[in-house]
Amino acid sequence: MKKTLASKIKLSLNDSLSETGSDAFETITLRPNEDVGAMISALNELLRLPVSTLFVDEISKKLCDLLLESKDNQSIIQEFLDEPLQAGSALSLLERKGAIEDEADGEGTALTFVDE
Amino acid sequence: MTYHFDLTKFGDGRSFVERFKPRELGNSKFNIKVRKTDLSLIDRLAELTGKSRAFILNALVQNILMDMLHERYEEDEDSAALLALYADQKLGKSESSTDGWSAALFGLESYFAKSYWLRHDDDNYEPSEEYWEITRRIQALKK
Repeated sequence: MKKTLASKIKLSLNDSLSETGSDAFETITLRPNEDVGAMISALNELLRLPVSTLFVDEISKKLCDLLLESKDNQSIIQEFLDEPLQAGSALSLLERKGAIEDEADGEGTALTFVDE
Repeated sequence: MTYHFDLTKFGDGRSFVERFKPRELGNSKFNIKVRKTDLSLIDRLAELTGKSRAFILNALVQNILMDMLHERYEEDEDSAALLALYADQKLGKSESSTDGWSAALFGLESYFAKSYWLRHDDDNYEPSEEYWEITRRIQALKK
């Protein structure tokens, strides 16, 4: 079945996650409903996608997108800005998109939401 | 009375029972990796909404799978349709079931809703007074 170059690279990167930087990740047991379970099995069986790393980047991206949907999310984001941003996480994606910006004067992190 | 079967009249498809019997998915579980800070965010969200971490993760994963299926559909309609059908068949559903992955992909259930909301893109479309009234109430509830 067809796989784009981007998805192949992503899979390769995801595979490497299981070997390096394990402190940055937590393994969770997901008990999905039957519909979701069927599709996860389908992706695994038909496309050979490894289930364990399948959702790492996707969850980060989805959380980032959801956070960007409302200015009201600023307060919850603010709660997590005291710690360094974990590479690839939802918050680091917010920074990469320019939605939050680390102030250069060292007085903390300033939030800037991009107006649509 | 003795009957004989003419097997040439029968196909090689799924059996009557197999067609309607969901496969062994009832207690399926998967180990997935999640970035720790994403998990902290999910836990905070769970606290704020009163939902469990598992509930939120399951909702996210379901949403993500739908996005993945639609992305694949954009790249290759055929393989997306097949993936959806395969998943549906695991559930004892067919491509014409209205509540399966195929339906979600091809929009069987949402066709009329989509057609309706497309009308809003037309500059000349004027929703009813009641529509605006309900819109105001929704906005007020959000405050």
